[in-house]
Amino acid sequence: MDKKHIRNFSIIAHIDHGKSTLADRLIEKTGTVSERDMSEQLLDNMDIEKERGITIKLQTCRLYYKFKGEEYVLNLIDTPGHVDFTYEVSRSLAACEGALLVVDATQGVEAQTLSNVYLALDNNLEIMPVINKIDLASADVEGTKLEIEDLIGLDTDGCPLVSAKEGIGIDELLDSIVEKLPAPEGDETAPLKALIFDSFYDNYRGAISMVRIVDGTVKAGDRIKMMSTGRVFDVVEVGYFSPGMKATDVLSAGEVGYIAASIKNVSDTAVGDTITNADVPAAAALPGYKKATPMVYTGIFPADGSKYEDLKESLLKLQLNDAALSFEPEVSIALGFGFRCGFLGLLHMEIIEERLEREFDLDIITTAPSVSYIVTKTNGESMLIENPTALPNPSEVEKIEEPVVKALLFTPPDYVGPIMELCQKKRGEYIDLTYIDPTRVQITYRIPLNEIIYDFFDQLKSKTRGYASLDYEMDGFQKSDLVRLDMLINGEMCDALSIIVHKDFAYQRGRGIAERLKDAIPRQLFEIPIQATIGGKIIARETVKALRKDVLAKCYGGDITRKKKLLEKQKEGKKRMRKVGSVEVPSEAFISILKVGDEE
Amino acid sequence: MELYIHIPFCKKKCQYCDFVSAPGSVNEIEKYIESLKKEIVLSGKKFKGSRINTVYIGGGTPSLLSEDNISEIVKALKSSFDFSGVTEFTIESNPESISEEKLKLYKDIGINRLSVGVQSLNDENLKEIGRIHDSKTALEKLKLASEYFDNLSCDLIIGLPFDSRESVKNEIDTVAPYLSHISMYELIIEDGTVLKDRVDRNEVVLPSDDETEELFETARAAASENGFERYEVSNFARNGRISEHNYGYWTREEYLGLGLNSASLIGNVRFSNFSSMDKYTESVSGADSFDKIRRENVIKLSKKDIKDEEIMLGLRTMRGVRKEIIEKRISERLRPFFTEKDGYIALTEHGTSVMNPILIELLEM
Repeated sequence: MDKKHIRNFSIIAHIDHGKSTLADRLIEKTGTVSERDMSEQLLDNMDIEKERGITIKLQTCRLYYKFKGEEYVLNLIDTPGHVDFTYEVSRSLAACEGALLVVDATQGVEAQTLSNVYLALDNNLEIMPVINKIDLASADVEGTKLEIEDLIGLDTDGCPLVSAKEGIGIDELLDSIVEKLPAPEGDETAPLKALIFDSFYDNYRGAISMVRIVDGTVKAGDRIKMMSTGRVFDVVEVGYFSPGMKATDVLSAGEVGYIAASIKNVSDTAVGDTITNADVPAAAALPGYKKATPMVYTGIFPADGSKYEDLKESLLKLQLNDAALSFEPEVSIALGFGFRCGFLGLLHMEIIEERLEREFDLDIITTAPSVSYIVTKTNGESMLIENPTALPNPSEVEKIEEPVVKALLFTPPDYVGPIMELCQKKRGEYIDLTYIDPTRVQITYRIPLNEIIYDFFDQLKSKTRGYASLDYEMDGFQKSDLVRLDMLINGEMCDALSIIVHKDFAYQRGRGIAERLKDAIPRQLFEIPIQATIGGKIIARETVKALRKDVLAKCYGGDITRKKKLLEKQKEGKKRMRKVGSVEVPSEAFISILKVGDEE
Repeated sequence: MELYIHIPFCKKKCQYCDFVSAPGSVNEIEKYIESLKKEIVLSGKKFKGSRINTVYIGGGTPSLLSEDNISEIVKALKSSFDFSGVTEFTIESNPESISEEKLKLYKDIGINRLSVGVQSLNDENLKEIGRIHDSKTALEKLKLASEYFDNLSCDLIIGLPFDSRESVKNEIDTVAPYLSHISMYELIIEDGTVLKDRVDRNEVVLPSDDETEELFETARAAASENGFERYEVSNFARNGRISEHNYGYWTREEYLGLGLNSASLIGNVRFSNFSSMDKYTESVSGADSFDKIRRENVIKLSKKDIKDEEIMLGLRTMRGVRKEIIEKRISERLRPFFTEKDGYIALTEHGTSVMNPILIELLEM
């Protein structure tokens, strides 16, 4: 295909600014999908994505558009919409020459928009602002234009003004895409270099790589090599999305499409990796490949211990489509057999948990999320700790380092005080504060990730009534004064409740968890002491009082079966409990400590 | 064998009630009594040789039935079963439907024990749970009934919204002089009842479990001061006048339940009549023998079931369970909840109050 007639582009937008709706409109206008088959927001195809209005897995779609009598191929590459997936965003942007920056005319430029714009600029993309929602009464087109010019420095002269919802300005937008976005470059005759910007698992064809061909060509029958691992596969099929998969003879430089090569595992189709021809390999891989590293860890256990195999199967299936999800078996004294799972971030974690429950119908218990720590022992040995229970005895620990993020907070000026207070409380280190305009402030802090994954989002939301937004990126490790906090239930340590916490917060966290546990554990035949301890020293104590009354004192006459049924019901309830020593602990108790909110 | 006869009618359904009972029209009542009489006759044929020890007419509100209705039911019973050994014949009543004529009749036809559903002597409580009588009527009728029946029982509900330790003690002191027996039940909020909805909507606030237990402690002490001895979780008797009929349930005597939704234990089989009126009447009218009457919840008990029942039911009595049946199931940590006497193991007073979790542990083994 003639490269001059190809445009590869992404859409960058803040959540709710109408990215998906605009994508739908483009697909509809170009006749790629008949109006009848159009289901709202075609590109977001997971239930959770539709519900949350965010994109997690990338989608891509080839559109045909006639401009001045010539046919153009427009490849729309969707980008995930959350900070957890920044790396995936950067790879999908790397597959494009241009990006549409969609800005809601009623909202203006937002934090998320900015970070993705910077990513696009890093990838040398031509960015074309598109002002959306112009049909709304509260739309401020001129103000939005000024903001784009001031904040991002983009020329908004003649930028498309659209209403994706109402279908206004879509033809003009398509014209602008052809006119203003550059055509791809690349050499069809050079050795194959294809950038994997996403991959997914297809039940029939195995792991499928979604690629941008940078140089060369690829067709069925070719032998390809993954440049990060050197593994070689035979290409079974190449094609593109429209939006369903359509096979084609060949993909050549400048094109976007998929490669199926009977690959069994998505980990062999790592995002950011370069595919080359195994027989005529490229000299060097494309720049920018990074292995996905989990940042947040949690233990996931089946609520019903007998469902361990089901949980394993489900995680394996999820992993087929999600190379960033990692897990390995974990045994907890309290929760039995389960898995220690690693995630890119909190949202990633929540999504996996939700999918396990919804798509696989599993009842799961998750332990408090934790991060990975670098522990240096007194004997000089260094280890990476992903599970609080693995932390060595304090006497053997020379130092502990924890991951830190650079947090960008965007807020109206009213909330600057509360946000700074929150950041300070969360061990944040102040870096910068700038007024973007009179109505918006950007605050930058360095904050331990440990604090972010705890209750930072919730607190930020409540302190700013939802007006502030948070974006963060990893910013290395720093030495901290951390301790392991253990919980004892009736004198027995409950491993699933252990957390690593900063020394200054240990007391209040311990007290908070003990209080929650006291409420979550039902009264039993005997009094149950609940204690929080650090290195054997008790720092907080609560007591679940002994049960005083639980007896059927109702007249059922000769209807013995009703009495039996009531006991059966209580017995069933007991089955869902976990035993810590002789104490029955309901699954909710483990979850309730995740929700330990503000201990103020 | 014991006989239970169910009268599923009442003037107005109480808000806490989840029994099979409802207001009935004269026609419905007549139709039901026809079925009941047929079931009595068929049962009589089946259990021809059996001697009946106790009879209990319960409900609903049996005292709601007219004199004629009660007479014909009792007539049918007496001509179908061997009543020569009946030592206890109870009928349940509600204060508002007790009358001198009915009391006379009950006595005349051989009923020798009356149970009165007083529930509370606090008018606010009575209103709150939808009872149709007031405390004044309740006391008047108790007094009247005591002139006819020296074996007189009353039901009280402990843990009602306006209960206090004082009111509960006062209640028991007030009713005690008329009675030989008291049943004290807990208000249990069952799904599907009016009261459940109202509690869910916070229209009715009930005492907490701990408060209810305190009220029960007060009530038990008051009963004891008045000479009533607790012989089962909810039942107290003076001078040994326990409810023999109910005691049979806990000691697993054979009993035959007649009428809508009534449960029976015959041999090692438990079964119930249908709880739907139409199904019940159809089933009886279509049968030409006891065995042809269709039933529900038919359960043949295994040896383990029987042993479990002996424990589950026996521990409700203050005498307890024969030592050899239960001894091995009691773990070291549960021992403080039990006492032993005369070859029987029983729960302590506190053990009785927390019987459910103990039973669950005992029955697991």
